[in-house]
Amino acid sequence: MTDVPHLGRPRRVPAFLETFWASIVVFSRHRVSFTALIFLILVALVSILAPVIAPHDPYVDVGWRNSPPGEDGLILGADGDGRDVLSRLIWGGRISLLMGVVPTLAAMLASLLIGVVAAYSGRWADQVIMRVLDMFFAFPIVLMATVVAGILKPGLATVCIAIFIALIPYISRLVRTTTLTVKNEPYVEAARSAGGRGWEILSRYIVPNVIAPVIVYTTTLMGFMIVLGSALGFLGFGVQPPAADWGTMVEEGRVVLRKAPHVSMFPGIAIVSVALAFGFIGDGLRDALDPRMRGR
Amino acid sequence: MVRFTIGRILLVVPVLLGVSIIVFMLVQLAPGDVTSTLLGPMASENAKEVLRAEMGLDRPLPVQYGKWLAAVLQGDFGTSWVHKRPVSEIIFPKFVNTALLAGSAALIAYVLGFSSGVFTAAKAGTLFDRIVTALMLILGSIPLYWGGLVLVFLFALTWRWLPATGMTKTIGGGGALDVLTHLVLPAVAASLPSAALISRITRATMIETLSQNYIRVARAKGIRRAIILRKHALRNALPPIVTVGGMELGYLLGGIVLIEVVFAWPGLGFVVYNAIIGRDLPTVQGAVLILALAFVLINLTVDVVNAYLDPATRAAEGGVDR
Amino acid sequence: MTPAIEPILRVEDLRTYFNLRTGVLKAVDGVSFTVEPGKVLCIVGESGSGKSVTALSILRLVDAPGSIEGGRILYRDTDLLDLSEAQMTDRIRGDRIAMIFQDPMTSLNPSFTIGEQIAEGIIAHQRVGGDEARIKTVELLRLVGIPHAEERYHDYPHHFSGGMRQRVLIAAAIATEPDVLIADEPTTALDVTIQAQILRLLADLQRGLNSAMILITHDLGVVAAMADKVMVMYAGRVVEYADVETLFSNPQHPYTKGLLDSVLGLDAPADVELHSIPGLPPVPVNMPAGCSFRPRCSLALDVCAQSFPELREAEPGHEAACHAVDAGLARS
Repeated sequence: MTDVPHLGRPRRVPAFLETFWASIVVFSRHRVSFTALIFLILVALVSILAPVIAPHDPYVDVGWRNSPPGEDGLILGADGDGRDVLSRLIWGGRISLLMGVVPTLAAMLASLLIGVVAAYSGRWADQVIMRVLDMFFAFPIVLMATVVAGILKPGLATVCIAIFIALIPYISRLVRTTTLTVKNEPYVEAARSAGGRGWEILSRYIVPNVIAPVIVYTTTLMGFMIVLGSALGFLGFGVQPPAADWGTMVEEGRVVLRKAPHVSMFPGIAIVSVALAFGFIGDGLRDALDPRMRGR
Repeated sequence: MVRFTIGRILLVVPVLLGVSIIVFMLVQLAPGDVTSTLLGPMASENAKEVLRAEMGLDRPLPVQYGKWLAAVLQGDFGTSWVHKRPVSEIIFPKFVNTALLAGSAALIAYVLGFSSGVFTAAKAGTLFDRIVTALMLILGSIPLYWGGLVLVFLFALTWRWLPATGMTKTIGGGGALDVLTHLVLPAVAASLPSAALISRITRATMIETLSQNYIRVARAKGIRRAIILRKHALRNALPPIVTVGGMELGYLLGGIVLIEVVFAWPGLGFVVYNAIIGRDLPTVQGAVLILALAFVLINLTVDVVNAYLDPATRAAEGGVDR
Repeated sequence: MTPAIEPILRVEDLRTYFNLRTGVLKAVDGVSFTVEPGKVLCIVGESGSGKSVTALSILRLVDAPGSIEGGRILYRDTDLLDLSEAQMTDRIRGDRIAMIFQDPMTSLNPSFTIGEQIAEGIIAHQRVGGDEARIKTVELLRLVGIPHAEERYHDYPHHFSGGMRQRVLIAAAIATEPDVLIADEPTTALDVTIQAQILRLLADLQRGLNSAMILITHDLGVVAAMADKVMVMYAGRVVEYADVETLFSNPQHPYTKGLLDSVLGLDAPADVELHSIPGLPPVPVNMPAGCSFRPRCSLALDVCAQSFPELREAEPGHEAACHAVDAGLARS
């Protein structure tokens, strides 16, 4: 409401630093998003440090089969083969996080290229790209990923490729529409009429303004992709035994669901909380990257 | 309006053509030689060569695609490599089961999501709103298959209220009650993420609509709150909700593979899964094609329904602007 | 100001505050006025002066974080603040007190025909069936000057221009022959040529129904044409309150004078300089003691920084809230 005092304030720091700082301020005020970010950083750290942190070898039986949480000195109990659930969860986190983050980031980069090219290159290239994307939209994303992953040889790379392919149409469409909007904004027209070169306008005006909503979308997608990746693991298309991601662990626990529900429940809870955390961070980022939310 | 509908239907034709190309190409991703899958690793090169010629695999890809498409258009989806029966015989009966499951799940998702969305919007900011909204947020992040397992553990294994698996035939099986008891758990499990999303969208659009000027005008006219909610707000909040609802029906169709695997539900998704595991590529092709076709038709219906709901589009077609 | 007629609506010391994170915004802070049947009260002021919130407060349509913190709103002998929400809905809003809003483009529900939207108010308040309401609606549409009323009943809002939509909204407002009509800048969003038509229509209808009207505007031309009484608001308070002739011929408050100076009459000499009031109106959050107009006032005294001036009679029937006026300094 009182934006007036900001006018005419001398800029002592480079503009982008100030923007960056303002975004961080808005984000950290979002208490839920901030907590979610801390939580995710912790999860990531624990996963990265798995060899140090995991109390047991995830592939060797260390307790009684299916022993419930707390017994045998195993906090989260043992699975159907007597392996430590906690250690498998920590090691599995590496794979699950990787499956959610890496292909999504890769798809984001590819989509930035596709979307900007489509929006920028005018008629026929745009038409061709959009029509091809339309064909991919005719498949529900889960079905697409399942079939691609199922047909290829099972493995971590397969799951990543499947997610990568399934995501591209969605992010590309967002990039294209945002680019088209930004392209016609008055400040871009102004830069163009001031004699700015095509490449310069693209890199200085278009891409920075397109990237914000894309990052928000991608972050939200990461949560969803961790769920999807785990589903492919659950179907047996991901990493092969004895290695396991969280989805594979749920599948292993399915056989002993009656006797040892904890084997399926803990990885499930891990998936839900990480997916939720990505969602919250996405919400926080949306506000943080929205210039209207700054200075409030 | 009629013109819009016809135009929209015509637009679907190239998309379907693209779908068939993608389905055809997907199978080409399969590693290894098809003939060694069929004849076994010990087969002689000569036998493989004969089979390849027999199946037309020695022809260029576009020719193979053309032949496949021509056959598909006549309802011939090829022969299952595993069951040695026409693929159409395998998938068509299963489609009914999938439609039953997806339809029930969609119904649950709509009722649950829509009513919770409207109620939370009407009571926005209250404790009730916060609890339900948080619950929906969590439900929305639950993996379908895991949610299914939790339901199985609780209702089938612990309390023994409902069966988890064991559905074989929906038609000509154990009768309506048998179908219903088998349907409850998978349908509820499949509906939860969609219910959560529909609830969030409904709440957001209702709150947005309730902040419109015409709502304040209606209040100033002395219209009761219940009527304002039911008539003025709901009617305008509907198009985005219908759009998301339609998209969710499509999403359900995708997620149905997972649910059918968890509950061993005899539907198309289970067929796809088993065919993938058994490397039965013609069956994968056929089943995926049918699922994608259903998805495209659902999207088409949603578009047309939405156009009917919006008086401005209706007017652009037939109405007279004065 | 000695009304021969008994007022139909009497607002006393109305206070409507908004509890914001940054503090309490006193949008309406101790406003009192009366309106009589057949008379027009104009409320004048810049945006943010509390005109619209005053109007919404009368119908108790102020949403959170705003709330009515004090005062009385007497309709006949009932304090509207004592009524339940259901009583307000069924017996007051759109029945005895009706309101016309600023923006006709967004005030009609796009999904229903205009006929339905007028008829629904009739059905809600007059215990009539659908057919009867429809006949009444068509009559109303004719009354507000919509041609082919019969057919246009079934048209959707997007078929209508802004002026026509405002006619529809006026028809909806007068459908129940209300005792009080509140019009919140009803012509601001319209073309200049349409504005006069709409105002004439409003004036005719109001006189015909012998309703009291509260007309909110920032256009002094409208005030001169329509008002019997004028109330000038500034930062949530009444700064001057008088008959229309008195106010135009003998304005007291420096703010009112500034407003009048910023408008030229047609008979003004061509070389005269158009005045404007320097500065911006304040946002009344956490207002310090003293007169809120002081930073922009050319007559400001020391006392103006210490206490807010009370509304006092400068002459019979003419009230102003200004220390300078009280001190006799404001004679022009």
